[in-house]
Amino acid sequence: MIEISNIKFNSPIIAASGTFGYGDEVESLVDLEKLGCVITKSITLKEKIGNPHPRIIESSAGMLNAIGLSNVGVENFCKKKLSSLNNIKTNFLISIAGTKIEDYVKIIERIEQSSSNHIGYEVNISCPNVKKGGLVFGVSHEMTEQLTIAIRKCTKKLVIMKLSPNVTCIEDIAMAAENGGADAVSAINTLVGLGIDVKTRKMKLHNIYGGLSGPAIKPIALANVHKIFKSIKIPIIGLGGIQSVDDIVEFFLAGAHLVQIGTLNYRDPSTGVRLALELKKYCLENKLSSIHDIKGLVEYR
Amino acid sequence: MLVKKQKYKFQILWSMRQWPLSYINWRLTTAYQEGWKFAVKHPIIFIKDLWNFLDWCQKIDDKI
Repeated sequence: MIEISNIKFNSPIIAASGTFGYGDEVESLVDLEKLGCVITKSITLKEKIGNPHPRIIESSAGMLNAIGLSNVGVENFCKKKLSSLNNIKTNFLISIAGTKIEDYVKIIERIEQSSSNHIGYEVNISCPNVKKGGLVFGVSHEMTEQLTIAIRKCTKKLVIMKLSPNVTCIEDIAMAAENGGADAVSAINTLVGLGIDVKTRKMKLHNIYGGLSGPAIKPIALANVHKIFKSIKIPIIGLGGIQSVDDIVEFFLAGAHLVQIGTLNYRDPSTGVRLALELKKYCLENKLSSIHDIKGLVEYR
Repeated sequence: MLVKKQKYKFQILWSMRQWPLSYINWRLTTAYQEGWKFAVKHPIIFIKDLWNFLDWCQKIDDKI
């Protein structure tokens, strides 16, 4: 059984934030016990309706989205969602997002006042910091460290920082998260992308830019996971374009401790469970007690 | 050589019949600010979006 800071995970496969609802919507459809964890949609301090249509567009080997953190807000989340999430048959992490350090702190304080079985927080740092002129938290190692320290102070549960690949040196940001007291990092969030409709000559997304996810970004995700693996000691949760057991094996060889399934959940929410079963078969065939046995064991030519 | 047969769009749609209403509602809320109300008010846009999504599913299925 894989652990992060003494928290046990049934399976090395996690359902990524924003691709699996708040976690309880799919309970009747997916055997959640087969997943190591479910991560909720990102929660902000206030309810958000997100960006106007179009905010999701399909692209070759991936998906571009600019949903704009549409969510029910922390108050509604605690009142309407937490009770059903407390009964799901696997761990759950709450994804949080904000535009000021104070937002993140207030969200955690509100959640910690409620009765909740969540194991921790995945912190979305791909949001603009309004106090720093809109500079995204995750592009600055100083802001990442300050935010991690502030979050660490207000919870004893897991703190996982979700790193953005839209930076020059992701290792610096990962080290800042580690120094700030994070239990783990997730890598990678989406890459900035753009789509243009050649018939209308208009932007495909209302927001102009969006986040590219899916199989198209897998090599970038793998490179980032491996760079981070060589730089920090805390576990890395790898994500970005996983669609098969071979992809999962690649992430573990590159240094991932757990993996998340994201965009493929849009095709079929039971993808994670299917891959968890296929991964068990792979381990048996390759005489591995766990996929964790091959963590970071990639060989150089 | 094993040749994988691509699923038709209606087959993909049919496979989604088991999706719970709460999940469908979440998907619509994710795609549109107004959720299901947008699909009712703008059926042509909704059908176009659904078509593009099913097309994408076929392409993704080819790669799996």
